[in-house]
Amino acid sequence: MTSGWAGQVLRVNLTRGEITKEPLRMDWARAYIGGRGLGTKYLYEEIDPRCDPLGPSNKVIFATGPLTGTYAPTGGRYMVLCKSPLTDAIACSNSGGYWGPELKFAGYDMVILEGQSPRPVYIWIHNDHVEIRDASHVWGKTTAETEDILRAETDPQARVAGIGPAGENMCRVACVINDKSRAAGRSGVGAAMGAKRVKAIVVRGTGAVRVADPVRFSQVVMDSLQIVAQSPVTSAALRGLGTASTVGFTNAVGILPTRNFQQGQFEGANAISGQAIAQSVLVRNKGCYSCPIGCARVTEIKGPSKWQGKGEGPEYETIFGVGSDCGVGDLNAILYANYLCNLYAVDTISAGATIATAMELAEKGYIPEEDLAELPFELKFGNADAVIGCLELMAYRRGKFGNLLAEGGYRLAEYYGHPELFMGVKKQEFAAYDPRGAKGMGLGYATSNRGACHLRGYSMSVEWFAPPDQRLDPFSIEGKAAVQKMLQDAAASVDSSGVCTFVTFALTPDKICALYNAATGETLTLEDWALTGERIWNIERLFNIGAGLGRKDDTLPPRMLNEPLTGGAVPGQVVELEPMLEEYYRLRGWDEEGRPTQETLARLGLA
Amino acid sequence: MKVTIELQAYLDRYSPVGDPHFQVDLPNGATVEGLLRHLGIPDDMAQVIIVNNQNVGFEHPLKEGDHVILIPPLAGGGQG
Repeated sequence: MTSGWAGQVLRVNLTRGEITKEPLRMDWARAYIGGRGLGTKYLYEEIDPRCDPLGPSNKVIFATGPLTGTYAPTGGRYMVLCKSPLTDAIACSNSGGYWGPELKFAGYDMVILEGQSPRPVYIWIHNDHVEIRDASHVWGKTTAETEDILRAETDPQARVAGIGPAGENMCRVACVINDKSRAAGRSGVGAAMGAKRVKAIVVRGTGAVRVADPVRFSQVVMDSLQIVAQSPVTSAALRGLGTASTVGFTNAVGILPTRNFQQGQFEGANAISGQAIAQSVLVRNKGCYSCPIGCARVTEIKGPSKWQGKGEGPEYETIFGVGSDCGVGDLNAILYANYLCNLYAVDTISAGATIATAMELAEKGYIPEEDLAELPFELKFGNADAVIGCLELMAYRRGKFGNLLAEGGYRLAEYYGHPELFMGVKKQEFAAYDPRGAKGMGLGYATSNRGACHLRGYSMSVEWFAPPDQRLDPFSIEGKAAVQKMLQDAAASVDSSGVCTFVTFALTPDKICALYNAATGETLTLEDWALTGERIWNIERLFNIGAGLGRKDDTLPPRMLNEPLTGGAVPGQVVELEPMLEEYYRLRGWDEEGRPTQETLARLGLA
Repeated sequence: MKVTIELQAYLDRYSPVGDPHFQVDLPNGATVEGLLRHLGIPDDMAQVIIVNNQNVGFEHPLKEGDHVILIPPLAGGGQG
């Protein structure tokens, strides 16, 4: 029996209704760690990167890492991979909760969905027993209703990962939700699942994950838990206030994207900050499987408000997406919008930012009156009714405008003749840091393999969130290419291992590598660990090159390149992307078109 | 001299008045470091210091009417 791994892959061919179990390719697992890296390797080998992401040739892979389901701190992550319906590039969205560990306990490291079912189905996995079941009775239902119904008819302790109405309708910003409120959020992975007509994967597992060296593993876990408990970032900030603890900071500095990135400060920021949440709507914090941090917020709208409800959220990114980016400063409206996003299963970042783009298109008079006339609300910044209304139109593809919103911000802006008002990269919307005030983030957004993303190379950690003597000037481009490369490779290894990227705010890579070695029995050095991250980054890049992407797609909207951001502590800045990009390609060992050279491929074992 | 203070995130525990927004009276010529001592905030808890929209260090001299924002170690993100 393998350690860290279940050693088995579940393959479900939906066209033929066939279920097969096969041994995990251990040679690939060693070369790509797991999760994100391993799932990408399978996709790279098994699909044509030029395929239609919503057609039967795409595959959707649910992948865990070797630390998923162990008691490593935050060892509960799984990833959903496919060719993205939003970006046409590689998609890998990462989620916590309890679903990933349950899959390992049932005896599988990955589930590969292939083909296309003729009718709505769900997959029921109960240890060795696997069935494709009819899902017509839950098709059209929200994620919460679906989870309740499917647990009632399978096992009350089962874990459910699935899509809402948005995924069913192949909305390109649809996500996969598990445990009712944890999201594999980005790149439209929910649309790819919906295209296969798979409503959910329901899992109950009663096994366990074996680790190779339990004594060593336990030692590293105990050390790590102490470090996490002592770090102010993972304790006072993330546990105490959630990711929303950063709202006041980005606003004070002047990089809180506001009204589709037209400003970097939002006058309503105080009312939607982490402190405001803690004082008004917070019920309690919550952790995912084996998580010592507990950054999630259980919240409830209290008192008189036109918006009512309870659920989980909001994250910092959500407060930006449906809040400041749309000019909305009503915390209750943001909570309600967040709950709706979870029920419909849309990405709060891309959904919110798409609505913000629509608002700027309307503000500038680029949307014809007849299109606006069909809307039951006024589409303008600051109107919470418009945000809530747009979410529903988008998830259900209602009317002409709902259909356009469901395509995401890029296609919406392009349809109305103003693609320059789309704020993102590779057709995926930016996250909540204006890169003009953190230029490494600009390079990170431009080069992220899954389109604009804050998690692929979180250089905020050195441009702002670092002690003054270790900080890089956020307005300078010097050294940013090297930092991005290092952070991108490091994040690729961490994601692949099955722990949460947030644990790295306290733990250095040597700890994660030590956990990986103790769990699997491998003997990777820290250099091997970094090199593996680089291999993963490059195979993602190879997938994208195969899909037709290249240097032309490693760019930023003209607003970021030409329109200075002012306000806060940002003194009239733009992103000087080209020199950073050239240096970055050189450091990566890529040619001037952004393709890995033969020498680079050979060095990484990818030739 | 009077200086306006804004304590971000969990630094509000160091507010003498409970509210994260308040005024303090400091001797003329006081620096940011002096302000931190006055409030009892450890150096490593004031990671980013913004005075009148400018990113400054501990040695920065303060003057009457300054608006000081103190930000502790943070990191954020959101949905994966």
